[in-house]
Amino acid sequence: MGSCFVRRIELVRTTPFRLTLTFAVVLIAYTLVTCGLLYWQVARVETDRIRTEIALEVSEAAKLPMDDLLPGISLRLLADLHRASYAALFAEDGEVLAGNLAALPPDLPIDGTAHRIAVRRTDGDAPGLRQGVLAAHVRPDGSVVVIGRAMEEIDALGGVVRRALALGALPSVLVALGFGALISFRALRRVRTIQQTIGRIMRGNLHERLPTRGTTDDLDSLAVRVNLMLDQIVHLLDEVKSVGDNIAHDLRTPLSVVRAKLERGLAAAEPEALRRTVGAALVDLDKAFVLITALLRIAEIESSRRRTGFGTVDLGAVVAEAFELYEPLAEARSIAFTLSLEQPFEVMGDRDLLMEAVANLIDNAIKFTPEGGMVRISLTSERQMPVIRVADSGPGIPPDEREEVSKRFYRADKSRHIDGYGLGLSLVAAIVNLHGFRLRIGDNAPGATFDLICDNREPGDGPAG
Amino acid sequence: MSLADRLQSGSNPRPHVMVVEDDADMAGEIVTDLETRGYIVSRASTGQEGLDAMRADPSIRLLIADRMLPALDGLAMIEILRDEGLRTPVLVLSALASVDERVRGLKAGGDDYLTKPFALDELAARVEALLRRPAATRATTLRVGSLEMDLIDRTVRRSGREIELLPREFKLLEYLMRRPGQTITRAMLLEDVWHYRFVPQTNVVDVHMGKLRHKLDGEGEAPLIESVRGNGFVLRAPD
Repeated sequence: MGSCFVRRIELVRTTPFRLTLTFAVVLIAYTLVTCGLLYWQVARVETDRIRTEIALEVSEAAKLPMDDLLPGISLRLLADLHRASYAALFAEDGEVLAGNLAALPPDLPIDGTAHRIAVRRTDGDAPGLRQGVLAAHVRPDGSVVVIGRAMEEIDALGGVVRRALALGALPSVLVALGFGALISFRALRRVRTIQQTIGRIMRGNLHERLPTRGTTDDLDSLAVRVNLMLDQIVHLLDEVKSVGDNIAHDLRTPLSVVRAKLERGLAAAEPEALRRTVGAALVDLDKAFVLITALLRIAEIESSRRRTGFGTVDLGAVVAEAFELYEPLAEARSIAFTLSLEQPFEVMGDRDLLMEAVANLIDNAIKFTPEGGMVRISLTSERQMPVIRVADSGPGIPPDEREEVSKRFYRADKSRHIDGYGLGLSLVAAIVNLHGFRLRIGDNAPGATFDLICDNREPGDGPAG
Repeated sequence: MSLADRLQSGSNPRPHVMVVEDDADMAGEIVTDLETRGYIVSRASTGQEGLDAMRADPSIRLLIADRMLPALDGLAMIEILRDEGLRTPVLVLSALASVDERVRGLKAGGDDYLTKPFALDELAARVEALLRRPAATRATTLRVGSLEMDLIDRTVRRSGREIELLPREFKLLEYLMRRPGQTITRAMLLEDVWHYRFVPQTNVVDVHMGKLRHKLDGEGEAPLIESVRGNGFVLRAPD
């Protein structure tokens, strides 16, 4: 019983029900106004017709000889079964000569035109003043003839309209309320299903989706949007989870090695062996630190959307400085290391981060290029957009792995024997994404090309790297 | 010869260093390591304690402060001390790696910023660097042993022999010559000479250093630049 009451209140509170209610009220108001106008128009036309008729009749009556007039009045009143007519003849001194009026109405001007006044009739069974339209006219002999009509018929018309309104409007209000309740109930049922589904999602069942009916109504399109949002959230959570798994895996490896080394060192007989293993363990721990530091940097860049450090950056200078840093290393490895700056370019960006990105790309290229290979750095343009290209003659990256490469911790299998974690490119991807730039990995046959395409579109709306 | 011994100048005894760190293990390691290296080390575990200790003891020559401390935050402590006119160098330690954090740490009055986790050798090198701020010298020549650098002509001579250096090599050597006998880590070189803040996965810094060494040390001459194992480099006049 209680829940039933609550449910009824809920129903009344729903948006569709309120809309229906509002609509019903508007409909009723509109009907009232329309009927009122109609009644007013009809009554006015009818009254005008009666007025004209009476004015005509009284002027005719005033012209009739007395012998014809007196029987005429009697006849008119006799034939008037509805007691709707007034007819009377008054002598010059006001004496009633014939008709159904007790006296010449004092407020009726004797001018031959119709006036609406209250009069008292002598016949009939309803004494008292009643509304009527009357006209008085003076005859040639000085007597006054009065002709009129009661207004009850017109007034009755108003009653008819009111009754019709009541009969018509009441059912339509009921129908509107019923219809409102019905669609509200259906909407409420859908909303309740959605609420229950959301409840289950909130309790952790992230793979549930809101029910949709395949229509384009607002509730459905909202549900579709929410479902898309859920897909995205699940995707992000999966990504976070896999990142977490990767961190655990990639940290566990060096830490296990450190542990094994220390264990072996402790078991060793001579102190010198212990010193050596401890030294080696430290190197391994440093690798773990490098990993953590790089991860923190990536997390920072990815989450910050930090644009406070943005300004005009001379790309040529950025590239040249990175080239200078790596020139001796390339030389030491007998790698042909060249730089070509076709034209100066300036972009909006964070100079330090862009330097870091370019240096990382070159660091990677040199790391993966065998002795005697080549690494070529260039700043060119492509459809008016500056492009920093780092091309190497290393093992290259297979097409199906090019997207994977920029994810954290990825290392193409062939390169696993080379030291270092695949974090450099993840860092580059994070920096590139912050700037709204693009990182394109291509084939250098043999080797790989990394293009940093610096189109300054709105940053951060590209796919996350 | 310990770092601290080398830092002694004249009648000054071993440098007194203040460590404000709330984590007992971390503080213990730092204190032990710095004491081994010859420093006198005091420790505080809250910002308020650090503040009181710094106000009470003007002999403290360096403050090492954790970024996040209970009650009174590390940065707030440094700001208060700086407002009171303290000019002692401050090294900020933090688990927060972000660039903004670093900038905030330096703005608050820190002189250097080290992100956890760090190697104790790195910490020691930074401590030494802060205690031995390169003299804002107006001299136009730098001299370390037989090595002489003319900052105006941009020439370098060793025992009278002229050494041809590329501009980048000159820049690197100048940095080392302004800090003779001081351990310079790879990270410090990347940050201060090349202005990069990233961890290369190649031995790019070592290669630069190798080339410089090669040019500095002539046939039969004693090496001027020593490697500090797993840590960095020292430019030192051979005894």
